[in-house]
Amino acid sequence: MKVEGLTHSYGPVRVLEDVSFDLRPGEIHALLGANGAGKSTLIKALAGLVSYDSGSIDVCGQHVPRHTTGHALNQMGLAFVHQDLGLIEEMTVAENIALEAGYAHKWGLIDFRGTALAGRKATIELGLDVDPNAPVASLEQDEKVMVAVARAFSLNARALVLDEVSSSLPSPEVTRLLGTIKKTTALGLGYVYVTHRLDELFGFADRVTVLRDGRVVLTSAMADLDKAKIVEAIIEPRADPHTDGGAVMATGWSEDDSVSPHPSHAAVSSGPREVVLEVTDLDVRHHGAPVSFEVRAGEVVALCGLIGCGAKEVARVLGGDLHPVSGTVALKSVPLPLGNPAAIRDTGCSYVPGDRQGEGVVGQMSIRENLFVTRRGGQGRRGNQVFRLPGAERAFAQELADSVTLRPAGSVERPMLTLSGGNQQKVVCARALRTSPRLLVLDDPTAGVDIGSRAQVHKLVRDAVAEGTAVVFASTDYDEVAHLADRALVMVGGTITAELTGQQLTASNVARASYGEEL
Amino acid sequence: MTTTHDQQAPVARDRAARQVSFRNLVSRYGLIGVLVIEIAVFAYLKPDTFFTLTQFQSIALTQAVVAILALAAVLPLVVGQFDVSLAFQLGLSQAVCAKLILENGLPWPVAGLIAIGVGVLIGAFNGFLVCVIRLNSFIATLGTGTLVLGITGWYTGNLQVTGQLPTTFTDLTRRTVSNVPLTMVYVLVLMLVLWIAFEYTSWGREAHATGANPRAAYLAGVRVDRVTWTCFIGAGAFAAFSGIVSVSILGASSPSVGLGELLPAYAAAFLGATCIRPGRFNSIGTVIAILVLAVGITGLQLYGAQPYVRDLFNGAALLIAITFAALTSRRART
Repeated sequence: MKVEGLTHSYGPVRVLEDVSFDLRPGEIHALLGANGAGKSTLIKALAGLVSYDSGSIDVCGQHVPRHTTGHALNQMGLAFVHQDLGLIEEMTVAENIALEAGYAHKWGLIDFRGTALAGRKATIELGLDVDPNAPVASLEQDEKVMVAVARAFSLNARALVLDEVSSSLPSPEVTRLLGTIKKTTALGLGYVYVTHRLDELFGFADRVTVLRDGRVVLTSAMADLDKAKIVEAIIEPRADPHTDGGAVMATGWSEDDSVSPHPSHAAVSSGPREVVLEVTDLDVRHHGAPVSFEVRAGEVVALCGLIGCGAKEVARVLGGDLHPVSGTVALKSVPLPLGNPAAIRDTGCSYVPGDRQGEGVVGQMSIRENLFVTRRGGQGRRGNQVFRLPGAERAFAQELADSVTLRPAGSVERPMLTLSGGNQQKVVCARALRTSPRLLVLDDPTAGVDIGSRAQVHKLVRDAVAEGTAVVFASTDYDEVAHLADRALVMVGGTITAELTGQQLTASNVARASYGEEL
Repeated sequence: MTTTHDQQAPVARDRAARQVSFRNLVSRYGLIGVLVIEIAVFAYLKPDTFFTLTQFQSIALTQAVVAILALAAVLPLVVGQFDVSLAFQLGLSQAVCAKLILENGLPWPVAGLIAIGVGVLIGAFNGFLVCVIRLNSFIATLGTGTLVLGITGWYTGNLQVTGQLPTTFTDLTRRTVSNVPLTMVYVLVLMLVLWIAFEYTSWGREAHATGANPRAAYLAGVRVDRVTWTCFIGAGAFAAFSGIVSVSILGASSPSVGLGELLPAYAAAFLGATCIRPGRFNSIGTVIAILVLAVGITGLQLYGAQPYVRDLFNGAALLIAITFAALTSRRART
């Protein structure tokens, strides 16, 4: 496979610029890059899902016309295996392969023995020993990946793009998967391997290409590289001067409407405050060492790392969405009723979920109703209510909407789904803070949010912090972590591996630590 | 995106806003318009037979049971669940109420309370199946409904329970207060109770949120299961009440009520969701829908329409209304 001079823009933004890339038969070529570096756009361009302005793609010596997708592309020799694999769990291995490759037929009807045999042949060829009549759901995770590979291979694919297939796998299965993949290269299969986990690549990948800001910044044989060099290539160098020291705060603040000094940083320097949240030996998955940390009143703690590092899961546990395998969480020394969102809300802990559309807002209901979706009214005169007087509620809702500068300005009776994503997020945050919580938990609060709304969300968090709320947020956005947090806990493989504070807390340091580099 | 909106010329924005509010008005009160047109047309065509007090009183009397059943159906629909056992609960409530009065000689208020208690129990059982066992509500209540139908047959020996009911009991539905039939008063009271519960209480807000996005409601701290459960219990109580009203009207119980009442009740509930609060199941819309259907059918029957016209009319009205609602909401979204 060969990609030459691929360029693509969304409006004025260049997301891919003159990207050239090639894959030799039998080679494993790792494709790396931070979030937003252009990896997924490149993959979508290869898959024919987005067009490109200029450049060309060749597979097995044939030119691939634009918008060639799926089956046609597969028959030319290029196939994709994404993180969700695209297998039907309830059907057998052989049937899953036959769905794409075609069933064996006898007298015009499906020949199940023939189909099973074909499935067996396809998997055995790749060194995968599974029962073709076993339902896919009964397989191990790494075997499922290989079934997806076998399906593409049986359709004549010789170049495969594996898109973060290892990110949800525990490490023993990853090791096994990489071993199986490596063996199949003897058949002439070439892989483009997309991952966030650098450790996987040593002894596995033959070459590495790193994208940054839509450009190829590094293509080199794996043997000439070490981890530090790769991380250096992935991280934007401009992050350093920007996020170091006092100058950082200045640039950070220009984004916000406020001119007051960083309140949470000030709070920390004025001496230790009481501990609000105590997390002890929390185990959210069945692997990795348990997590323990504390959060004080008026402190902002970021849980960060690569996608799949476990930070999101910790936030979901604190929000009540997930029940941990083991461990305890105490809010002001009182154990939190984990796994019960309603009970957790009653203790004074608010949660802003990660999936805004699916978990944050009720799209059909109005802004006002979204702000007052539960009976909880917080402390004081707006405490828990049985009856709702729309007049009073409307006035309060309007007050909240104005305080977060909801755009377009107007009636709070509009349905939520008429707002942009950023403005919906403002409403979700305003709801979480309406009750003056003692603890605010946010899961990737500004993912897919425009700059203006992002600044508003940050301001809301800071205002809450100034009133003594403790804040925990999970994020994969290193700039946001450096900008908003007092303290960053970096997680790798479900475990906290680094803690960054003060001058050390910069976007590039967070990124380095996320890729598992020693600081 | 937001900036361009802000910079729009105020005149253009005004016009756009006016168009939106007009469309809003049509979708909100369109069904009332249809009702007014229906009445006007039949009043013009058949002034002597249609536009009379007796005719309106008769509509109020014959539609009361279906109307209350439709209000019962609204409760689980709001939280995104179906309860198809409601019509069979109506049948059991009829049987319990009639038998306790006629055969056991209980005073009617006691018999009525027991019937409602049975309804509450069945509702609680439905809620248990849906919230604890986590069954699909449609299938679970199909099972309960069939079970209830069987229990009714067993309890009554599959016979009509009839006899001389106390006049204090039959007067509950057959009397009028200054020409307004009492049945209509019951329907209006229940409608208002539901309206206030769903629009002006925290419970109602939580119920709507549960129906529209259960995940978001759950994470925001709504006790989704508890709210769902109360809706099934409320529906059981309402269905039981409709049974009592029907015994009072008919003077007897019938062992075979069921689908004949279920389909019109659901048609009205869905039709009602296209007006007053478009896109949401609501009690006022449901009662308006009952009237739209009843007036249309009564008018056509004055022209000698056959009984099956009722089903034709109900089905067609429902399909037209929900298609129209789906098209307008899609246009509003783009």
